[in-house]
Amino acid sequence: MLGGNVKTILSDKGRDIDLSMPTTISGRQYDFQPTKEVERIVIPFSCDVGEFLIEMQLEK
Amino acid sequence: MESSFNIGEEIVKGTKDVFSTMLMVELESETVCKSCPIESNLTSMIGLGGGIRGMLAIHCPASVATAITGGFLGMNVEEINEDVKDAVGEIANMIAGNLKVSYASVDMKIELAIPTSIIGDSFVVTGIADASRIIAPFTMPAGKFWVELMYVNNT
Repeated sequence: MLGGNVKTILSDKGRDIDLSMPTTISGRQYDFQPTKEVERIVIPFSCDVGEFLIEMQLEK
Repeated sequence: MESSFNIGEEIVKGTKDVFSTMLMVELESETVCKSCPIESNLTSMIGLGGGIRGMLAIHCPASVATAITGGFLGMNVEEINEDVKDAVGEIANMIAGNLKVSYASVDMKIELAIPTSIIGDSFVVTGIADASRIIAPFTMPAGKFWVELMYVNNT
């Protein structure tokens, strides 16, 4: 749904994007990193039960 | 799509091609499966868009990830570091590139997103419920690894 909103915002501005399939990674201990040089945007959020992050990576 | 087009075979062929040209390693492949146990310390994945929506991933135990990197750099690599992440990411990129060529041969155009790596001792990667899953197991001298395609067709 977040991806869909980003797609809508970008296509309204004349830059349509394709969304691939959502994938979920779950586990007790792992690290998630881009492989190529990317621009990263990380936005922290908090709600009653705790904090979470939304991240977007775009190829430079 | 042509009935002779078998995406599992294309993945096996494309992966063997990358390993023999880039690393001079001839891979053994096993029968492609829909769900088989995977053991991974480093997974590199690439989103696919355009004609299909999905992702391609290579799942490697530490022994295989470091052996691939050692083959690339021509030196011994002991642990999963930045070089290993980049080397396996590049392998994933090349396998996805071959897949793009395979799909183009049946007039399907797919787009590749940027590779992302997941490193750890205890994690699982899952897609969405109605996605098709194809897992190709391979063996090289350093051990076993898996190349996985998850996708939904855009109709």
